[in-house]
Amino acid sequence: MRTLQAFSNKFWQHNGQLQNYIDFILCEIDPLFSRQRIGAEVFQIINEAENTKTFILRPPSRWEGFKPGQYISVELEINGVRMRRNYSISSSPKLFREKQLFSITVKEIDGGIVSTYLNNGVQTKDVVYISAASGSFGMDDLQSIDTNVPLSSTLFVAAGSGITPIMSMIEHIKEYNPDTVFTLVYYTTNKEQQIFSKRLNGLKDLLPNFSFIPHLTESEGYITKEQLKSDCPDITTRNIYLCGPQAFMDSTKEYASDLGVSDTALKFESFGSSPNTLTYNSEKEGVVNFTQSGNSIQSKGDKTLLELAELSGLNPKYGCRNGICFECKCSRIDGQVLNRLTGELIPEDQSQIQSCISVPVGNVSISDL
Amino acid sequence: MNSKVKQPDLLNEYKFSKSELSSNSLTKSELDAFGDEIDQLKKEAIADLGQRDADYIRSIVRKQRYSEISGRALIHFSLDPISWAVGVGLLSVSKILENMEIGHNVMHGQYDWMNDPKLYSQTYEWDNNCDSDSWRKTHNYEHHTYTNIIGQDRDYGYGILRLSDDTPWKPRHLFNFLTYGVLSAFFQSGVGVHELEIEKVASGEVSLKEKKPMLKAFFKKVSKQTLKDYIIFPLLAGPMALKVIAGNALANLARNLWTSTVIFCGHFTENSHTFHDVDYENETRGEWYYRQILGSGNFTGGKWLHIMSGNLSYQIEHHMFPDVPAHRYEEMSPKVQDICKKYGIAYNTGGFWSQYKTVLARVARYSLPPRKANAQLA
Repeated sequence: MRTLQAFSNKFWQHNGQLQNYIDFILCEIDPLFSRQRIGAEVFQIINEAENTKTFILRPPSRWEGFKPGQYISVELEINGVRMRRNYSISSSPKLFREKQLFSITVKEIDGGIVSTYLNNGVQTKDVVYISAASGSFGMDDLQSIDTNVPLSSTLFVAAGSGITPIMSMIEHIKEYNPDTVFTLVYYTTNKEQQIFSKRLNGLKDLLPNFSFIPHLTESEGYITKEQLKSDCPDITTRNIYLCGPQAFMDSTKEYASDLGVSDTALKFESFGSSPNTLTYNSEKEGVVNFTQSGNSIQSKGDKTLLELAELSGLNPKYGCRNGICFECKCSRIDGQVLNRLTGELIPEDQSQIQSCISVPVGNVSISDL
Repeated sequence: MNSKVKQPDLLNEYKFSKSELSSNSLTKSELDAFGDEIDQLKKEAIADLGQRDADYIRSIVRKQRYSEISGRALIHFSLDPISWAVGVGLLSVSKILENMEIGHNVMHGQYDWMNDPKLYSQTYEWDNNCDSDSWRKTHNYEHHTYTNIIGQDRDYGYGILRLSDDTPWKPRHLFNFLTYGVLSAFFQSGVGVHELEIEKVASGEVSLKEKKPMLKAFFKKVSKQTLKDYIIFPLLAGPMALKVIAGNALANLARNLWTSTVIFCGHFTENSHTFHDVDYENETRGEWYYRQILGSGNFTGGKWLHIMSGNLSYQIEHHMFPDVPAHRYEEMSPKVQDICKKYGIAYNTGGFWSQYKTVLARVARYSLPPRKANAQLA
């Protein structure tokens, strides 16, 4: 049985015509049978808050599951174009273990094509395509599932839809380590924007060691050092998990550090916000040559190779547009590029680069676009 | 400007030159305005791309796959000649659809915007003997950039046929018609070795050594195709292997003959012009469109004739908009014709048979040397 499984896995690692035809027939029967993509059925849609919905998905049995805090990429076809975005998983691992279900929670962003489509165009029984779960934002000591031992005391700080990966972790604590001492400080603009408020208030009554402290920035203003201190006086003894818009995370990190929190005690995740806020520019102008097509375009050092290629009239392949999936990789012949996410130069001897996160520093030549 | 035209002694049948283009027909500003209008038409089509186009190409892929699967099954399991013949027909249809409406058009990048890795131009590999990378180079780049420019666009006669007096007559051209027949029958391999530039290798202009990587890719592709159609599938049929080999060979032949016919109708009809290097020098966008129109020809017919031609029945539109999904040409064509009419530009179209007859006439006519009397009259 195991050798059969191994053979099957090996077979499907190839992307030949035989695989394409078999997958075609499987998909004709049911798109969820696909072996080349992971189709997940939308099992239920829940209105969570203003412009925010939770999608409970049923993945196929070969989907390997997730750890609380991880995210998946979700691919949808919108007006004929396949688009992919990352969303944190917002449900408990128990739901998956017992019912083979998990959820993502998506807030509609102004001008966000995928989030808008998910909130308005997707219905139950639709099929979306997902990736394996990834990310390391989870709690390291979550392994103690069966022991019922409390985890070390924890502080969660979230803003807006940054609550989603944290919700999964909190559900996990409730199910497996309910005696854990933990606090959630949650910022939203107003009450209508508060995601999971019912669930969180319910948990507060259920778990004596859980303090839930919601803040509304519309009336109270943004996070301050003093507020953080009064919400969690023993902050230096806590493991901290932080997720929200970049500016929010930057100030929180600064305040936590001022309050004496060590760098290693604080973990953060930026997928809860628009990834565009976390970018570096090269600020060096130059010309980018795409030698295969013969197209060239002026670069001001503020756009990625993928964006420049598209502006020059090309339609390169891409996936996540966020440096994760490598669908967009291209071959650099010449020139320097920096990683938009880290601001670091990509080593010169690395010719295969991800066009979606590579910003040209001066002149650059790409051979296969 | 005429002095720059090379080979003046061969110009007796040469109906069109850049100097003619600017003096006799359209002014430069008219050509610019014409180019702008065509550009606008393209822009509108691209802005409108969406679900309709994605659904269309996927429905063609679905039809192609069903016809291939059922065709191969019938060839394998048929117990009588009729069901076997139906199988061969279905497999032929599948190969034609895959090569024309899917492969050729996908490799032009017509569906790259869909972001579907299976319909992506740079990685698509089609079901025939021509390696896709080689095709992307010789067809997408050379043929589409230098359309009908003698010496640059090697699709014009494929280096072996004489199709205008631009090619000096040699005794071997007496067999023009036979060469055409053989090329058509083995068309998939003909385009497969196109990049070899056999005539340049023969004349010593290019060394065979330079062509080694290309030949390697070609033989790799041929082995793969041969393995599939003539070894694996026949072996699966066991004792009935022979009828599978015969069926697959016939389907490949049918595809070869049909694709060659469609392509010859695209550029070698009576009214298709040829050009020279001088026409390409400093060419504006408007002039480029103009050359594409004069060098190409359409044919009319029913919906399935267009689909089975990969919409290359709209060769003029294809040459103006090679990266616009080909099923859109049908609705763009009347607009192109209106613009052509406005600028007094000839638009070469006609029924399939009447266009094809002029192709055969051309192949026959240029098997003979140029007639001096005609040249003087012209």
